[in-house]
Amino acid sequence: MLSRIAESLFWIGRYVERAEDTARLLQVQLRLFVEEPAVPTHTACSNLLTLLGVPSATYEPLLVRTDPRAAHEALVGLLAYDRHQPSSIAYSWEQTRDNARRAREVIPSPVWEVVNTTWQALPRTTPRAIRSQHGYLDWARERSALFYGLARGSMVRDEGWQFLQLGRSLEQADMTARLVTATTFAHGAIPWSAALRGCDAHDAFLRTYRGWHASAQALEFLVQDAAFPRSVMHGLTRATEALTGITGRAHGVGLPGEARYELGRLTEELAYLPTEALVDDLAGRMAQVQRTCQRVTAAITHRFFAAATEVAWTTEETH
Amino acid sequence: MADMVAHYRPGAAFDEMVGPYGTVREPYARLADMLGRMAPGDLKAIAETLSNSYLAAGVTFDVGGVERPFPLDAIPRIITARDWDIIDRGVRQRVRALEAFLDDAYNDQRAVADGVVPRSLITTSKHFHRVLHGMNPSNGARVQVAGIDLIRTPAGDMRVLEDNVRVPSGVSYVMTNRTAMASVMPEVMAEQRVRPVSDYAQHLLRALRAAAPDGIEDPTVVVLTPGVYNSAYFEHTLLARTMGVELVEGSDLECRRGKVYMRTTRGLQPVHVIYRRIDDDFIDPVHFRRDSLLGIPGIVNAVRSGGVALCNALGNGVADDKLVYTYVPDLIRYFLAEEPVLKNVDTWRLAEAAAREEVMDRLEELVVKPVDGSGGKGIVIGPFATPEQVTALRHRVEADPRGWIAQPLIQLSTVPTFVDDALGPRHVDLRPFAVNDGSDVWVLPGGLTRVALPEGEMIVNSSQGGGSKDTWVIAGPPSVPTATTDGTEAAESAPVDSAIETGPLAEPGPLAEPAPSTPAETAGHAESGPHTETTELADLAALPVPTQRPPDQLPARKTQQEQQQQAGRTPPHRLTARAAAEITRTEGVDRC
Repeated sequence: MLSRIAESLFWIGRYVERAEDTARLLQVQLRLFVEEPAVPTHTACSNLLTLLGVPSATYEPLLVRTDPRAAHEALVGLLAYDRHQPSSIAYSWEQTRDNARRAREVIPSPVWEVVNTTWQALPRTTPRAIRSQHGYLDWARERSALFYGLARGSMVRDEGWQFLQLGRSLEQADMTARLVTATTFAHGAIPWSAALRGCDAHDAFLRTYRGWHASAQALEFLVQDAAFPRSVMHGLTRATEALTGITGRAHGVGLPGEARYELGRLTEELAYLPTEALVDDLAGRMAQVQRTCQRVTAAITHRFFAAATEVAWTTEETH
Repeated sequence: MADMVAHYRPGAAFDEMVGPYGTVREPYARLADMLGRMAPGDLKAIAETLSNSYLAAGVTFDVGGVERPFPLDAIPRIITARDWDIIDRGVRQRVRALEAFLDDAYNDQRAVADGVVPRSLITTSKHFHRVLHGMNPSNGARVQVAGIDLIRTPAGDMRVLEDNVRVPSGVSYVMTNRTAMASVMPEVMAEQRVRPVSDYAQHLLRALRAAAPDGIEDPTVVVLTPGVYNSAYFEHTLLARTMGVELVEGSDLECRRGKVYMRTTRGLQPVHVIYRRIDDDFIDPVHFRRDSLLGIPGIVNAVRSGGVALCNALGNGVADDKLVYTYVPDLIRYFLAEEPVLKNVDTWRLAEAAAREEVMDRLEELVVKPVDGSGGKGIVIGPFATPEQVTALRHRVEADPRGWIAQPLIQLSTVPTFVDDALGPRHVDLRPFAVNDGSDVWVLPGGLTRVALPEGEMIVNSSQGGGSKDTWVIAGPPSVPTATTDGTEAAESAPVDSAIETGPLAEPGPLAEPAPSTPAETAGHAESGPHTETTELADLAALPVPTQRPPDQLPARKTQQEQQQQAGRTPPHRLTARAAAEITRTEGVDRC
């Protein structure tokens, strides 16, 4: 497969997943504003924006006022509607469409149509009514789900599919880690049920643990339970599987700096980590997940995509 | 809606649907009939469906970097089998002559020696590259794809307007137009027996594979695009997709030791045939434009050393030169010893003093075109030009007579087009696409009908905001397919019977033919022996759809009515059928 196409598919996987996860994260947050008014909205918003990598220079001017409504609007505007903000839903779909257009010949037509029509339907402005904002977030989650549903049903399980999976799983692990961190900004039991709901995990969690016991278990479920498809652990294992599918190597861990090594190391570490240790330094552990995802992306880019970005201005070899 | 056809008033030009006395021409009879039976608003709904589906699918044409949906009109253009036969023969003949001319131009130049064309015609062409002299493709074909533009004159005959043997575009719209129309007008299309266009990609791929360098058994074919900002990017993706090959950009390829490789996740992989959609000028910064980032440095040397085949071949532009166009009838007679099947539009060569003298005083009534233009660029239509434009044109022609030709203004034929909720006559041309695999030239039945959407407008080019129509070539009378020794069906290559024009009651369409029912009847098609086992419908009936539980063991489902009765909320009374239906519907909603 062309390096350029592989790269496009990898990033399509990441962006479609990011659009969905950002929508989930925002929904959790919007719910917390209502259910958990103890934390000042301003603080919660700036924490979340920092966590999602929005530069403070971008959001500070928008948050200065003490008006919680303004803070709320800035948060939603930047993360949902701003087409120039790499963390936003709108940006993610713009990028998905750009990548999909360049990889048009390998993407099944119905999948392409979902990308194209989603891109066309992206709103140009941020609506004022919170009701419409919720509607947009629901829609964003549905579009990502539709994308994967169609992709799963129509894409051949070749290298291209594996790159899409790889991008998607890494992004998912990364974003769940961010969501978990965001939850610690608030205190008490409510944020955890909000986080679980944001991941569509609430019912599954209650069934798995036969009722509510402690927030530590919710944490364990979202981070370490590989059987739950939105957990950090699940994203990491699935990324490893995709990588195995691409390289065709099922054993051996490689060297530090290589994608398999980094993924394997983090997976094992998390798997055997006692829950108490996880709770003690949750933000640190989740930052570690994000850093590993970054290193893995760099390693993959270097190994599989780099050739495509080098400009071909080398002198031609003759005979 | 009957009014719509009745109220349709063609202009002075030849109208493809309505004849001089207001009668609907034969091939349009069924379509006019269908339009007449439509309810008000139906055609508008069809037009909206078409445009929505193009928007969703991203069927676009970029104008100035902006992606626009390519307008597809709801009324198709219909071509009879008899007319198509002429077009088909004429286009094939023209492509063969142009192939011969190109081969000659880059080798011995016999046509010059024999006085058919002046030497300067070739040597002064902007697209003649000396560096390509003696570089001959492995299977002899230089024109894998040609798009020959045709127009229908007021007299009703088809004439050639120009030849495109560099990188003709538009075929993707032929394919997508057909798919889109098939979903909005399935009945008429099925009744009309329209010849299919979906096998274009197969023909193209075969021609490309045939062009592979010598000794390559199973060539790797790629489509080379300038990138997403090219106006025809949609087409490039569609061609790559329908042929199942990679779509590459210049930076995906690399030349090493006379061979070309593409960068893949598993390292460099060899490429043997490149269907390039980049002009000569941009393809190799080593030989042509040094500032181009679109091309691949060293590719000309790779072609020269036989490591890779470029399709269409480099240097074809000399045949697209509109001055060369004026010689094509002579070239047909010289190289093929045949009379041209399709005539040119009358043309003055402004390079010739006598012609120039004749034309210069009449610029305001003629169409003057630059010889190396494409996409309608630089054309001056005298009757629509301001005096200043005509004066400017006069100076430009005087400065470079070789650069211009002049033609009389011809009223292109019109086809009814749905604009502003009514049918109006709009001018069209036709670009049939020919594919040459080196041994045979094949013409896609139909081609792209481009339509000028503003009233009276003659320029149909997509880059000038033109739209398109689906082009239906009516199949000839059904011929019985017979298996030939090489496995291909004879019907495919059988000449279309030119004597019969399909009328409304001609022959039953393929849908009306009874399906072959006994093994004896299908034996001619069967590849395996006579003892193939057949599965009867009755056998299949013994395989019911698996369900979780057999239906008779399912617990009886309580209706909402029953549940409410149990809860003691509703007084028991008999349900009317309508109330029952409503309850079922509510229940359905609740369950969602």
